[in-house]
Amino acid sequence: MTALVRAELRKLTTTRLWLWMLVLGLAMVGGTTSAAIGFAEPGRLGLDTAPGQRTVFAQATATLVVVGILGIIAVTGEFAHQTATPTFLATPRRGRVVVAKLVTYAVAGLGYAAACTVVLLAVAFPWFAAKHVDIVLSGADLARTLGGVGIEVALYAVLGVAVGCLMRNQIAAIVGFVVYIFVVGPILSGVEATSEVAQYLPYQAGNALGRLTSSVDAAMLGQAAGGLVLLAWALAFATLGTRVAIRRDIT
Amino acid sequence: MANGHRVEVDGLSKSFGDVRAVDALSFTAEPGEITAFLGPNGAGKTTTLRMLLGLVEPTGGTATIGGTAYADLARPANVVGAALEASSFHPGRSGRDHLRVYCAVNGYADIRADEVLALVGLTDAARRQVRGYSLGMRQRLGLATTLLGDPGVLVLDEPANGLDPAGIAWLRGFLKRLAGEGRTMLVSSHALSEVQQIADRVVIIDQGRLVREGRLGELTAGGRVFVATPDAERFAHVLEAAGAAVSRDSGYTLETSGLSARDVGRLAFEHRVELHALETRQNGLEQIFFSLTGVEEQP
Ligand SMILES: Nc1ncnc2c1ncn2[C@@H]1O[C@H](COP(=O)(O)OP(=O)(O)OP(=O)(O)O)[C@@H](O)[C@H]1O
Ligand SMILES: [Mg+2]
Repeated sequence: MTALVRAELRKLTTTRLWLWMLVLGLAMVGGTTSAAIGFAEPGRLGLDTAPGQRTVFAQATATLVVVGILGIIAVTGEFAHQTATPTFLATPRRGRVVVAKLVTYAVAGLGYAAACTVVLLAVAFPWFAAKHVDIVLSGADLARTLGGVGIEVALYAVLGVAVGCLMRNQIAAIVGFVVYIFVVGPILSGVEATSEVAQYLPYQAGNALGRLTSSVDAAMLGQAAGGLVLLAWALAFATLGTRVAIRRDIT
Repeated sequence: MANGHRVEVDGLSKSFGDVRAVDALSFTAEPGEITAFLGPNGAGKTTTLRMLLGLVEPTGGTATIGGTAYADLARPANVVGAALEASSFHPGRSGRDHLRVYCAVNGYADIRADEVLALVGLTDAARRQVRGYSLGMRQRLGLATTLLGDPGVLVLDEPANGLDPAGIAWLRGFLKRLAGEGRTMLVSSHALSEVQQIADRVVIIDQGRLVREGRLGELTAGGRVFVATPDAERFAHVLEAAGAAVSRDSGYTLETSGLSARDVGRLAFEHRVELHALETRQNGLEQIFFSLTGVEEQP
């Protein structure tokens, strides 16, 4: 398995994609952090409140978009470029390939989250200082937010790989994923009728894990519960995706 | 000597919906031999090879390598090298990095990538992105990938596709050398004149079914005898009386089948027929292919 993970890491690092996606992730987190601080309004999520500050420090969560896409491409790209043939020839037990990808991209996800967190902190701390806003979060509180986001991003990388196994069409998979993250997820959580159920869906469970409060009215689990729910989703998708990848004819 | 294994396909079938791509197909490929796998477009060659390699699930039948199904091989890359598409590479990855990925999978030292690149003559292009490779260069990189584990069995789907004349000549020598080292070579191709030069055995399929399997020599044997003589008309009667089938090309040349060159020469001597040419002509693989597959040569 270490050999397979090494091979997957090599695949990831020997094309340019990882770099472009990292640049995109850094830019997105820089942007969302700036927006979270710049457009913050006084109130229950004001910059001087604990939930408001947690939300700012959870902005590295945007990284999940790029690692999710990266995970999707990790699988669909193998079919698009027909490298699935040599890949599965080298490892006929295809489940092992999928597991190696899940592990590799979870680790890569943590790496991306770490890099993006650096940008987040580099934007947030000076900006708070310039605004003369005191950080009310304790060190442990801050660490729980940053760590939660890191795990959330890693789980989304796993989800991306799984979605890539389930959907043959690369563009459709990426578009579907992005639409879920930016449209479907927020709407289901924001609308009162579905908010209660939506807290158990990946989008809001991820927010709970990262302790990002997008709206005070949206129902949201606690951090640990949200983390477990997101983990369950990731494992369920990964299991399903692996089964599909094992059965598929490679033609 | 390389450790060749017998490839055995037994009653293999595959249906894609209503399409019966492969239909109860059985044949073997032996170590030390080049087995040419022939058939018209859509005959089921690629599908058969993919089933042999565990990439496509058969509807029925089995395919084994040295008695073991591909998926059950402990270290497949050490046993079988296979190249199926002309291009199964990420365009943004260099040829060398492509090979190093598979070195990592199989636990080979990275230097092996450079060794196989040298074997196929790609050293100069090793660090360039595959998107800049010609079709022939991609074929060579595919071949290099198959050789990483120094396997005793090679399965190649149309390896000559896209090679220039020099490349084809190179491939011919390369395949012969690999077979000479004791490897089992199963090679699909549409280049029949090439196949006739290098194949030991031929497996011809059509519409998923086997139509002929045998040694190339047996298939092309029973050839015709070509005769040039100013006495063509008289000699034709002599040959026909001796039981040969004769076709008269002109008033000067004859082509007969059913008699050996030795018999024809003896008859000419006995009947005092003046001969200007006496030549055995083997059946061309192309003719055999057309007659067996019912595909007509395009006018
Ligand atoms: N994934 C698939 N789905 C449906 N039909 C398929 C699939 N793959 C192959 N076929 C069909 O199976 C048949 C055999 O195809 P195959 O590719 O094995 O032929 P081939 O002998 O390799 O042909 P060629 O010489 O053109 O490469 C064809 O009728 C083809 O249309
Ligand atoms: Mg084919």
